[in-house]
Amino acid sequence: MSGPEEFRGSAGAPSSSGSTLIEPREDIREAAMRPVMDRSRWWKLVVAGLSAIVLLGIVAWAVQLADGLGVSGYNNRAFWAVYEADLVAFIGVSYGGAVVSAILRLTKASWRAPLTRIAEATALVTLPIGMLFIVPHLGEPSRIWELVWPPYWNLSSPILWDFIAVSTYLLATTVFFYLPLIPDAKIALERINPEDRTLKARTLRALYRSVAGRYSGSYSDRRLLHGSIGLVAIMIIPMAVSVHSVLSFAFASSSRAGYLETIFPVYFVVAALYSGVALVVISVALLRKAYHLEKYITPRHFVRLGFIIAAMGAAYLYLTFTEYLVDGYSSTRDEAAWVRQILIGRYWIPFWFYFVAAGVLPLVVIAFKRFRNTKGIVVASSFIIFAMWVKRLVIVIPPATEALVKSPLKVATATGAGRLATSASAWGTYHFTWVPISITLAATAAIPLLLLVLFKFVPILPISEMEEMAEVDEVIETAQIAMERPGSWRGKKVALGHRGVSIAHAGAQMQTRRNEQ
Amino acid sequence: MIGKTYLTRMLVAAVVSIALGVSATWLLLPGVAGATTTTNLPAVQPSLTVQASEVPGKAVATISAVLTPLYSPAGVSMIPPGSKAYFYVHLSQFENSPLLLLGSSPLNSGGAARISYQPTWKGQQQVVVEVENSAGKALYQGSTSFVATRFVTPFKGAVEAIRPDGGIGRAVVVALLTIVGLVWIALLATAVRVNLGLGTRTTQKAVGA
Amino acid sequence: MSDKDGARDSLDPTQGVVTPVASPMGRRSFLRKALATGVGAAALGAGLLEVRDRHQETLVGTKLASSTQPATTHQWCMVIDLRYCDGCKACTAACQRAHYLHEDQTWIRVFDMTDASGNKYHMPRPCMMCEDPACVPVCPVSANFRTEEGLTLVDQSRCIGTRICMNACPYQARYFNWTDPVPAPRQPFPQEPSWPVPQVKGTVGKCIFCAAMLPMGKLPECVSGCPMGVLYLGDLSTDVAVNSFGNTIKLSQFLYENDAVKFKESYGTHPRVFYILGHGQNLESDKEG
Repeated sequence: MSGPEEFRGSAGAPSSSGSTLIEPREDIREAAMRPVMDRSRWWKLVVAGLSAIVLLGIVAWAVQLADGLGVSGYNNRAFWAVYEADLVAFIGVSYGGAVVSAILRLTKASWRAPLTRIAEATALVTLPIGMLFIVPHLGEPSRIWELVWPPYWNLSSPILWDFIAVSTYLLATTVFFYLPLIPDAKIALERINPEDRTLKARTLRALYRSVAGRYSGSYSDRRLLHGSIGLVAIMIIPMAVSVHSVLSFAFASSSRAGYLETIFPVYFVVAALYSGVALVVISVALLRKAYHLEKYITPRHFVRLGFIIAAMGAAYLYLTFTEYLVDGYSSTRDEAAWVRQILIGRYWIPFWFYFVAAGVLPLVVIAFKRFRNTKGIVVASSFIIFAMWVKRLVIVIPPATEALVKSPLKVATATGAGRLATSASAWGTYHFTWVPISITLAATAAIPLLLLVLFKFVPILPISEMEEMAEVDEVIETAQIAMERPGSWRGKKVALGHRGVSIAHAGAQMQTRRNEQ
Repeated sequence: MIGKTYLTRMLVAAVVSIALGVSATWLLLPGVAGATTTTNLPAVQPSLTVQASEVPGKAVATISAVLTPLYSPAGVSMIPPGSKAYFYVHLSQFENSPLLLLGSSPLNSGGAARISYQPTWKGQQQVVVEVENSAGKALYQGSTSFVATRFVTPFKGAVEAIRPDGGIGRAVVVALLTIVGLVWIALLATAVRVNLGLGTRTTQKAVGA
Repeated sequence: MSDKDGARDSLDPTQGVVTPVASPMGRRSFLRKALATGVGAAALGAGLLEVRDRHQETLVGTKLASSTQPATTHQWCMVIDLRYCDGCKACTAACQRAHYLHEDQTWIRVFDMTDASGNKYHMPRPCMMCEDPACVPVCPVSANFRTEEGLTLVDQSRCIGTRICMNACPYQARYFNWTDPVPAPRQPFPQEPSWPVPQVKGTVGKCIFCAAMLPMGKLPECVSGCPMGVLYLGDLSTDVAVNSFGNTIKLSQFLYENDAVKFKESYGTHPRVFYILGHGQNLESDKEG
């Protein structure tokens, strides 16, 4: 643990001048409260548009409720399909928030500060949406209460543990969002004109007052808060890992070829992390553009997130390779059937789409300096989100639709794989209909919708955290300059900005150098 | 003349067969307990007397059948060559009480056949014996019933279910629930602790304030 | 540890200026309280299991009491003599007629197979009534249960339709009600696990061996509907089995003499359906038609 000492030693210098605890930064406060104060028309239009899509999903669900799951393309040979993939994908993307915030917090990556609020909000918003997919997934959603009725609990069921794990994770995400909000609520309260008697102002005041509580901004308050945030940050990482592992157990704990994979827990965790960080990139990019936060969220942030994405993408590609290699190589009858169906059979289009869009593309974007910029990484992230959803379909649907009573004489072969198809459908016995597509679209639209609504109430930047790192802003600006001159060794050092090298220290030095020139 | 010899023979045959039947029954079946019913086939037909009883203290019953008379008045054997006695039990658990073949045995010179039978269920057992010729045509039939107080079943019980955990699951579940409970408590406690703790130590050296 | 580091991270500028303050609730006392609550949580978990078990027992108890008479001996099983199956699918039709099922709900399904020498044969597949079923432990709300007579049944008044049991069953013997069920007239039995007629939309249904009819001495619909006498309903306990012809066999002897096999024994489910194979037939053969 050389980090803290180095940090202390180096950061001591720039702040040696005074005993200033926190210097209020008007620009940060203004930027953070911009969405709350904003009165522009586009917000209403966008919210109305997104609400319309959500409404369409609700209508589709109502139709499904009335007519049964059959209208969603399900049948006895495709008993799990799109909702199960959605469940995994949406709960998965909520992981991104936990990572960007918790892991970077614990690894003392100080550049994270401007991203944490958006990341945590993305996690907070996507998790309930993912959980809500239980509802269309269930055949009899009116009995969903049985899941919380202990006498009915069957504690040997993977699904019940899914429910327990995800609920626990939801609590953790909420607490993790709530704690850093406390000091910001105090600051935000000051920014609401006390004379303002409108409903909005009164609501906001009540909200901020209740969140801020007795927070005074004293040292002991800060210390308590930071300790608690650190504790939750530590807890949330193993929790996120266990949640996605437990989700995978619903599939992996069966005897079905293609589901019975010991690699699944890791596979699901990495996939969640991967698509989650990609979603953070997209929500950060959109909100940055919408509320003009370019000053605080810089291309550097995207590149750093891009590196995380590339690492996760490579890990996921490796796991995919491992899974298909061992199953395809051993080629027991059942394994052979689905591996070949995926690689060269019925599901080859979705699989190879994943391979290109979420396997190769992100690596290319990161590998070449030409693409390694905000635009490249945002485009790659969009592909990742969609391709990882498709990959979830490739995980869920082929084993579910595979016949379990069949012959060793007719193993799916390279040429025979296509012939096995019972219909022209690309998804075996599963057929997409407008109902699950609408519901999935609605859930997708709900993410930006809820984010936009949430940031009408909550500061979009973690004001307190950013102010505490008073110098960090300057460092980032410096880093930006360093980026413009890629040849600079120091620039690279700052750009990578990993824990050991104190950004404050490097930043101060960069600043000096800049001044000298 | 012929008639006289015929009558004599018939008489002798009847006496002998009854004697044989009775003695065979007594010899073969010590302790007859089952109620006996006799199916009376047309008058010219002999009757098949079936007796069944449980061997005391054992889950075995003996079923015997005796055909009387053995010979026609003309002295012709009533048992065509190759015929056998087939022993059945009614499956009372099914509506149409189908017959379960228990075994078969040729009739001995005394017109008697016997098998031992292991009941596989308790209670009333209705047994049926049929004498069939070599072509499988039923000639005579008799039945009786007895109560089996003991039985032997080849069923050894279902396998012990090992899903999902082979018996270790309970401890695992309690451990996992404990962890989950701790996590919930820790999270809620953290939130509460922050809420209660805030603003209580403002007397601290307020640096820079 | 985390506490300190976290604080130091963000509050670095003031490090060394302000003396650390004890948190409002001491860490040690906090941990102690956490431990105590942990023990409480463990006790709660164990208690939950107890409640669940007791509830489960009463459930199975009542379901059994209402559907069986002698309550003890029977251990139902099925024998399927593939040598005589001509693939007419009369069993499926009889089953669907009696239980008011949709066409795709083939509780007993006849698979058209090809044996090792290339000849066709047919394989009816009811529920295997496994002794260690894979479907029962996976249900989150305990809607699956196994009766004392060895029948695995579904409580459709509890099933929430997660379909994880369909995933678990290695025989694909479970069917979902994707749409409204076929309307059924008034039934001689109440709608309960032993006679789930009519089916319930959004829940899982499966072959029940016509559980409600067995105590009345009636054979399951598929068994009595088989024109070839292929299907036998058996009772492992009384060691007998009967087919539609009234042919009655001494079960253990019949299985032994005809080299009976079970389907997918390697899955460890211990099915209670026995198959009698003819020449060249093989249970793992062919895909369905």
